[in-house]
Amino acid sequence: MSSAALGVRGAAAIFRHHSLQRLSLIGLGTLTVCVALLSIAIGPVTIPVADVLRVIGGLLGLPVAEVPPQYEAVILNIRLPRTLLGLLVGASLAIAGASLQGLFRNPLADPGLIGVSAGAALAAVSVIVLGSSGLTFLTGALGAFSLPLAAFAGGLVTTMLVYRLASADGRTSVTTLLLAGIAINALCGAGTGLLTYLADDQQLRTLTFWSMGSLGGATWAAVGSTAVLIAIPLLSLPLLARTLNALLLGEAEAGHLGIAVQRMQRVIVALTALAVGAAVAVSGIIGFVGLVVPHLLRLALGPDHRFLLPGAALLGGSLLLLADLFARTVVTPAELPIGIVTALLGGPFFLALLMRWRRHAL
Amino acid sequence: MSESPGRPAARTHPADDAARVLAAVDLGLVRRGARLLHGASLAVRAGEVLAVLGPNGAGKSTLLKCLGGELSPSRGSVHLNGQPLNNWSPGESALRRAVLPQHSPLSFPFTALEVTLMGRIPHGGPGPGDVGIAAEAMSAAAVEHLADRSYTTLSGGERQRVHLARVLAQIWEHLPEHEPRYLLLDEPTASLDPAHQHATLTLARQWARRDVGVVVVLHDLNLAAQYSDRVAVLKAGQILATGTPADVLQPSLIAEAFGLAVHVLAHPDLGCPLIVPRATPQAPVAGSAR
Repeated sequence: MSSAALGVRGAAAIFRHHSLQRLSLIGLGTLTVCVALLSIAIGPVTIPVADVLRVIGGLLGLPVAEVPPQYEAVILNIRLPRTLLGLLVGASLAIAGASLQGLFRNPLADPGLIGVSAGAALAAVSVIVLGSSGLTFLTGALGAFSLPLAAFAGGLVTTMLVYRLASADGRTSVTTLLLAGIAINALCGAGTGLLTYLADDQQLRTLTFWSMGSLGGATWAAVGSTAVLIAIPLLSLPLLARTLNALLLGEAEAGHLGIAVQRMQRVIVALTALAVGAAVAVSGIIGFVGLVVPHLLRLALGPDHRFLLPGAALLGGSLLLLADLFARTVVTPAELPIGIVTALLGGPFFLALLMRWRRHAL
Repeated sequence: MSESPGRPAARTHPADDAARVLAAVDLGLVRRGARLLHGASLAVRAGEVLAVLGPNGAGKSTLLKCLGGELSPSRGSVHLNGQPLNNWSPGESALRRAVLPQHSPLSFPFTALEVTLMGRIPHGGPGPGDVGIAAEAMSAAAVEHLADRSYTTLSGGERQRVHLARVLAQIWEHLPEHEPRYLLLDEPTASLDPAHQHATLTLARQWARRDVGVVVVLHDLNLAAQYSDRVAVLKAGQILATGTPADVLQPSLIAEAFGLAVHVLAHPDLGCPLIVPRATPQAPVAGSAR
């Protein structure tokens, strides 16, 4: 009898929960659109949102009124590609963070903290510095994609390395995970430093932007190649939501639920490495987005990856746009590296998380 | 006693028998130089409760992990309903066999209901139709009052029972043509109070009556005697004896397996063996010194 009552109550609770999650996703989508419009409108030249809408309407082939040509030029050449790039990079970092946390069964995993971003950056810097000398065969063959693909490979190697180091017998040790991250960050930092030492002036300017992260390199070409690469993890990771949920129970338990554990883990590692690699290749190391965004969403919506992953993509995009808006307006006409802004926000957040984690572990 | 009541049909066709067992044949497993299993054979039939007993390190969990497909034996083979385990895809095995782990590393704040619903993943769930099954499974495991609670706030015993509800939800419905399902329980009573220990094993009996083959690793010889159709005693990776509790749980065998001197009495109500350790001069029973 009581089970029937619970069935009704449980169904109602789940239904409420799911409609709350669906509403939140719609809300996050709206937020993303609003932030994107703001990001296009605000800058050294402030453009009325109405004109922004007109330009976008014009791009979509709608019959719209005339817009001052200098507005149109600013939007089409500078603000729109930068905003799209911010959305892509933020979404991919956040969804990669959420997936890594599911894979490691640990809410403290972040592509920056555990060394995935650093590995991707080291590979990308190698291509920048050695691309015209030692690695010409590579850059010649792959062209515009050589940088993101190298970053992907670097991210892949470091993710696999960290996973090997941190998990034994199907359990992941937080301590080993974070310590492995420190070691890999240090090693890749040393490698990047060495390459910086070898770089010429032109390369050095490019490299500075790597170390701190920036969306300043936003061109339509960059947006295009990044979109192609990021679309793969962005569209396929949400399809693995149930697998990630099952993996949270443990590797053996996921196996008993019929998941091909090792194969799925490899797929998730490859997809997150692609997401991080493509993001790092175009914008350098931007930390903490992958940590903060999934955590906020888990607090609000619970840990179910079926909502967490799309939610993370939306919130990650809008959060990174807000950070970028702050970075490029607070010291106009100069620009703060966006990595500094996300670190200023994310660092204290991470410390608070660590303290909470320690209390729970005791 | 080894025959389960209410299901006489299957025993008449010997050919059917192989298709109605989960069987380990002559398993050998060596890990890091240690011989964990050495020629162990064990078969659980649909409709019976088989208790696996043995001292610490005897290989009970290892044997269960081989039956569950989690470990691949270096020698021998495991057959599920007549087919080698490797012939089943992970998804197909998951419809036929659920495994209750000793511990789960889950540390994310799913509600108990959401954890139970994960048992429906092999069925393509969890969808709206799975909530009813999850609710009934939670009721069976006596955790329905915890449905909305976050898993991370539950006690060890409560978590264990939520996972029990999850594995029940996994094999809840009959398969086509009543193909047998199996439930592997690794020390399900370890973190439970006595009342819940008995409730869990009563549940195992009920599921055996529904044509499920249940393998349960236990430390408590009396629970095994009371609730199982057959017991298997494992020592140093080998099966020492298999049979009904009354046949196997003799003082000589218990001394050989556990190095423990015992009296075997008859249970006052059930008549099954009741095992009581002997009082030895080295270890007087509490209170006797007074």
